[in-house]
Amino acid sequence: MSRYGVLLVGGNRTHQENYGRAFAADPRCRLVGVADEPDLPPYRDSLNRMLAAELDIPFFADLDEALARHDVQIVSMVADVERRGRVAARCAEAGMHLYLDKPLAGSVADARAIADAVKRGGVRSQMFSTVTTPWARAARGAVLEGRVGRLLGVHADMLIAKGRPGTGPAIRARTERGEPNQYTFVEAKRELFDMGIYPVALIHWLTGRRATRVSAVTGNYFFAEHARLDLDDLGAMTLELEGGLVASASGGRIGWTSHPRGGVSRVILVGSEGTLDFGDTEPHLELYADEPDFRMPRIHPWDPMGMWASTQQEAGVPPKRRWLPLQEANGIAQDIGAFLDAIDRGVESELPAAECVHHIEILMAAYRSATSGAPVEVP
Amino acid sequence: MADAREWSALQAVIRKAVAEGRLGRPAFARAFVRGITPPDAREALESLTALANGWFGAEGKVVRRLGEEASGHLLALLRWPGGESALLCVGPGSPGSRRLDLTLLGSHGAVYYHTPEDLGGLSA
Repeated sequence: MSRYGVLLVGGNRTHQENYGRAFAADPRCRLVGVADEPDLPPYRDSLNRMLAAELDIPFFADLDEALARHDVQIVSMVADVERRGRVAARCAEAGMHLYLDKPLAGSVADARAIADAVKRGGVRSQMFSTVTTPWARAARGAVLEGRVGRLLGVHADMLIAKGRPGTGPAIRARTERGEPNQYTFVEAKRELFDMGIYPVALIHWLTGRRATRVSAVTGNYFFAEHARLDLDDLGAMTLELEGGLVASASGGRIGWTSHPRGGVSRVILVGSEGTLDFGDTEPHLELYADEPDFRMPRIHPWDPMGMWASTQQEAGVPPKRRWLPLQEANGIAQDIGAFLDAIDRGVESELPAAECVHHIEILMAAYRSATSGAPVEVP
Repeated sequence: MADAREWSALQAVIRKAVAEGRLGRPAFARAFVRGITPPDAREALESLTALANGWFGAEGKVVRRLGEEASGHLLALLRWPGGESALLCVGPGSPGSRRLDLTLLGSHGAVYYHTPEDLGGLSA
């Protein structure tokens, strides 16, 4: 018997396509419906309704009406980044546990609003990340056990291999214009924000230390779409952490054909006694056979960067089958399982909203640093 | 340096791949050398920087340099006049166990390299 009714906020062409199905697959959960704020742009409203239809669950045009139901205990929250502060706070204040898409919000003020509402509502929250993967847990175990001696540095990356590379007009460093305030575009995303969140969250979670200073650069290296919209397709940063620890992170989108699998997702721990690295594909076998190699897929006009499962399916993106990791993980199912475990046990999740506020502080400091070319203090 | 032959061979292969247009234009490098003893840390980071200067065809400007030389751990964020960038790191380890881990991203391709075992495996 399922214990938790789950309301999905957000629809197709968001990560709700994956989260919703992962909640549905967990025997502890049943999907109650899809809901969102009223008066949304028609494209978003129709995509929300589309997911409800695909999952064969009701659609609620009024979020407040859905939140007033007695059969909802959890909200999986994937509103557009610009609306996250307002929508997630409303859900938490209605007493709903929150599973939150990454990054938490598009501004520090919005992130704090979510964390404050979670506290006021007395609910559990968790942002999607890589921290619940087996390799991240192994890395944390190594830190806790002192396997590298005194920890000196942490270096983490998330470089996702999607999109058609080589279409940009030229390699160029970007001159950022301070903290961004728009994130939602059909063709592309700000990749230091959207991919950089993974290493930033991982570094904070592994070390338990706050960043005090950040230096960053962003670039337009691969994609015409990013250049046209004036969005970064890759960013890199150094972080100075409390207690003298240092770290570095890169986040970006590098192109379908620039990696033999999904991309680079890893962390390197540097300590006084040695260095250890952990990643989502290590160790792996390589398998070669008389079967088709991965080829550049057709580019979907509504998703040229390959961001969403539905559009990738429509575009016929072929699987990458050469690398066979010894430990195949389902990151979303594991992450949602860990969130449900925390609710079951009545304990804080591993990445609650209150912790994720600092990630936004770091990312905003990084964009300010990429604007000024100088290190920026993290508040 | 003990790893000069490997780095020289690596540079030659990458140059050839770039010249053949297989990567497009080199844009971003992420490189990590482990197994550095503290007295060699600065030189190792400079060697990595020289490699990157070769890929990007100019002298990079250090945006931020951090780490603890006494522990053999240094890192640098660099930016080149053409817009390229790099995160370069060196970390400590026992002498004779140097290993390079490299990701070099070009505008439409990428090179990955991991020293399979202790350096010195290449024939002279």
